[in-house]
Amino acid sequence: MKRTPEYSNKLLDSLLGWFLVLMLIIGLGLALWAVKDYKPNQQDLWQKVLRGGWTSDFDKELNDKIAFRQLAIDSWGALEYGLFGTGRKGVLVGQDGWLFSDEEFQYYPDEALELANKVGYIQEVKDTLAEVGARLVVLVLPAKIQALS
Amino acid sequence: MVFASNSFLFIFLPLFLLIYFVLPFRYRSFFIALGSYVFFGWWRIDFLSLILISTVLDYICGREIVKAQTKGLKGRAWLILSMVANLGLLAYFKYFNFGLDSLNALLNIFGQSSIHAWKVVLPIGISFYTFQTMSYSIDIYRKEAEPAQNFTDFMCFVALFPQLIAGPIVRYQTIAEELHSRTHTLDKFSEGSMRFMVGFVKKVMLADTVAPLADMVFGAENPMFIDAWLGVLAYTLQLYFDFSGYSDMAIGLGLMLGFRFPENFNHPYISKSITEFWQRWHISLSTWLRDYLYIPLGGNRKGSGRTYVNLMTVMLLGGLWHGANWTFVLWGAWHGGLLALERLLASQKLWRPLPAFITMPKTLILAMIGWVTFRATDVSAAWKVYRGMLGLNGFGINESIAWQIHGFHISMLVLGLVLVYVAPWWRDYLSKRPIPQQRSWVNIHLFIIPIFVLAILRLSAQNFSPFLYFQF
Repeated sequence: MKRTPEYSNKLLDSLLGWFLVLMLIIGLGLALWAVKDYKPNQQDLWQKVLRGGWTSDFDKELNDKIAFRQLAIDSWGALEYGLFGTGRKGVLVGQDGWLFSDEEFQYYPDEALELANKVGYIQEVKDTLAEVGARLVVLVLPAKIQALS
Repeated sequence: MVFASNSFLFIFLPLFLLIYFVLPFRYRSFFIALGSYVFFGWWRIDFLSLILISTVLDYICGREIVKAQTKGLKGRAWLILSMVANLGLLAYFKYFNFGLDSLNALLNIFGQSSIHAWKVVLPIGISFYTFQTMSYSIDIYRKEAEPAQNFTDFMCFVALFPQLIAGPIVRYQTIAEELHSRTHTLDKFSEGSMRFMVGFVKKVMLADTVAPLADMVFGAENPMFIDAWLGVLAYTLQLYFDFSGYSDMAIGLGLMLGFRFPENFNHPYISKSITEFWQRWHISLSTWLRDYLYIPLGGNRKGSGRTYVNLMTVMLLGGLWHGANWTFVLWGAWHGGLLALERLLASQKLWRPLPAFITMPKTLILAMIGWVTFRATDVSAAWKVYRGMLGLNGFGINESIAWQIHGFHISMLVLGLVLVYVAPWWRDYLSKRPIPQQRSWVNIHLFIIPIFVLAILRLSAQNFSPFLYFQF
């Protein structure tokens, strides 16, 4: 039968609504499962609740543990690599399937400032570890591209 | 909370809809207000107090204006109170840091030391909900709207979560009727689902994918001709798909709850002039500025010179509304100047109408030039990009940027550009077909389902996807 407004398929017309409802129900189940063990960090809890820190911790827990996260990472990684030969953020795909970290190629307008910032960060980590009695051992490695060239 | 997040999609929205549809109608508006407070409070609970202050104050002002008018008075004092309170909140939370920084810069020029003060955090959505509540008081004062029938309706109007933090700016009378009697049908819910999914896909698949191109160029020290134009084009599309995607999601969620919000975008990049661009871009803001600022300033009724001044004033303030930064003032001045110029050329008949294949790209390029100051962190950063666009750093492509450009970025950029021009043509084509044919074509919209699933996976893979307009 030719479809006219009178003879339109009601189910087909409302399919998007039903689909979204189904997605939300499945999503709710997966989300509740992901956060079932979540316990908020008690330190400064009141401040965190008032100023949103608690919810960002909760969001992180949910994002990290939702069941399809790994599937999402794998499938998008495969799709981008298969279609465009590109890797995930931070990965640079070289010739013959070689993979590099893109920070090796990063260009900084002020290299000296960048170096100072990174040394400062290492110092910060070293100090933090020292406070709990741990010693930071810094090992300087050449960039992969330098080792291969 | 943002729409493009797991916590909204898979916790807030399903629980909210479940309870909403279980409740009898008379409790639904109150529940919307309650749910909207949870939605807003997810970011920071303490700033909920600002929404509550705005809600209580404008509700009282609205009622007192009507009371005064029934006694033969105008109720101006209550209107002034509403304006002072709303603009005062906006001035403090949005412009305090900017004002102090500008003052310190001036003091430093004259060799004086800076004034040190606390930093004020900008509450998200404040520009939107203060404009909504102000329009309520002004419309009642002008006798263009009836006051809210009860406080619950007004709470629901101010806090309505689909459009609370990034518009569209909805006026009270637009949804007044729906606040106390609206229909909920499966067709309306499906229409809303479609709009929501389209908006989500626009945001996650298009805007977020081209965003790195824009970030690279706006963060580069010396962009060259090709990468500068590529980055600006990427930002032009990112902003459009991000903001119109948000508006689509807001309109879609509104439909699911039985509300029909006004459209906020109408294919702005096919405009043939900047005047037309402003009839198609962020429509709810431009009509707000027209009705509450341009027309009260005299509009075009007080001679041509005054019209140009009014246009410039409105666009400068419109620019400043977007953010407390000189870049937004410059962006407003650029658009104000172009609007005034177009008006001058039209009035003096100095400009013959040109074909669309010239005027459409011309308008797009003018808008792109404006977006540079809109996106740049400061004026000197904008100038770096302009230098690149002018070829002052060379006409090639900067090697430090070139290696970061991926096929996926370019594909989505091209797809976005195609959609910008094909979507309006498709809409016109469909509207001219006989209704049975239209219905059979509507089934093609079911393709949104797999694309929406892909977008959800992409969101989950990338974790966080903020909206650009949240900062405004």
